[in-house]
Amino acid sequence: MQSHVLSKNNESTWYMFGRDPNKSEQIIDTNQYMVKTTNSAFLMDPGGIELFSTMFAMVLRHSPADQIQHIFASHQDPDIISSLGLWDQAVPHAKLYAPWLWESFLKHFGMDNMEYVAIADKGMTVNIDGLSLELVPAHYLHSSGNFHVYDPVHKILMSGDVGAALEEDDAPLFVEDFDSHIPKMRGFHQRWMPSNKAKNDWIERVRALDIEMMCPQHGRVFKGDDVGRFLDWFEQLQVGITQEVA
Amino acid sequence: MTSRKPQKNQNQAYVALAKISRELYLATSKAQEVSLIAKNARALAVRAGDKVLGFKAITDFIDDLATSTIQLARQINKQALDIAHMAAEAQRKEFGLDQFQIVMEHPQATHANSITKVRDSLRREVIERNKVQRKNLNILISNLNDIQQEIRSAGIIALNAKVESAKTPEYQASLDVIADDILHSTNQIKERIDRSQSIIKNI
Repeated sequence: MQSHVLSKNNESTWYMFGRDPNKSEQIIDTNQYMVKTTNSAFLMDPGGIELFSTMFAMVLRHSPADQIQHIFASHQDPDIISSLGLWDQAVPHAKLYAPWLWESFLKHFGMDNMEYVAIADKGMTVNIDGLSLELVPAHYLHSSGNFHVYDPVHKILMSGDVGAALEEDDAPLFVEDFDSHIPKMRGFHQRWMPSNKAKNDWIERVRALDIEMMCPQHGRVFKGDDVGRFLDWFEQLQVGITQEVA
Repeated sequence: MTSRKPQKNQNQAYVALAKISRELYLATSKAQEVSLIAKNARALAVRAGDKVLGFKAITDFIDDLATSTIQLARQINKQALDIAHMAAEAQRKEFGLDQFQIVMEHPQATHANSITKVRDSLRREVIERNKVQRKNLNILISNLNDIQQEIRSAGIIALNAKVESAKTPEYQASLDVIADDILHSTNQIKERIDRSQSIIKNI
């Protein structure tokens, strides 16, 4: 698994983990993210049980275990958080921030020690060592209880499955040519995103944020103008149940 | 890296215990049949009066044994399910222990030592869980032996019932059918318990 610094200042650093060459071919490639401050780490969508040991090793490259005090799960999918039972044993002191809607479901992955911080539908702000991270509602994109993470200091939006692309495991980290990237995203968004209304609500919410980097859970990161290009493209895309799938 | 063998054993344990639970469920159903047969036999004995007093006493005894067998089988079934639950939990812990060991040996895990305490604590928990599980399995084995003993007794008494039936030619055919049914059912229960004992030996 590779580890990349996405953004860094004196107080905090954004890391991206992914493109694991040792991952089983049968599981989808995922991007994991972490914000590390001086004394704390905020881990986002830490991934499935299959990649736990590699992911944890990569995290321990940048942070001791006792500083991993916050884990965020955007929604309930296995590629997001089926490793929960292991994180629960590894960092029992940590808090899990996840949608209130999925609390009794996520605990099926095993959670005896960590505290579940149920994110209300309207979202919340988490303070990590003085860094405020906003947990932004993204319901029905694709999960009915879903959040993204916005960091106004680094101007990064961790956008979960929004912006995801299905492509080769060794694809570049950043979108290089937006137009050629569209075919890799279109089918995913049309099929996985169930609601045009939810999509448009989210776009309106996100347009109000100052974003320099949009980081999806699959595929490539959008930088600079490509963030706006993505929002424009997503806005005109018809998604969800209007698509014929059978 | 720690051995994968304990994890495999845990896998075997909860699969085996689920199988034992099935055997005990089927044994309980058979014991309920025996109880019903014994009750019917008792009714017949009451109608037959003094001529089949010996048979009546036997059917009373078999009914009591069947009731006791049902209770014991249900109790053991619950024990088996509890141990299966613990085995699944232990498997999760052992998997975690394996994973932590992999992390600690990972060349890029600069802060690997920061999980030593958690790893050691988990290791102690796994050892303790294994001890408790072994103890619980021994109790289960002992209870299976008890139930097997009861079933053997029921079988012997069912044979005696055949002897008693021979003393009353008038009812012999009916009583023989009852005794045969009881014998057949108790043999089936015995087979279920034998299978359970055989499964548990391999855990």
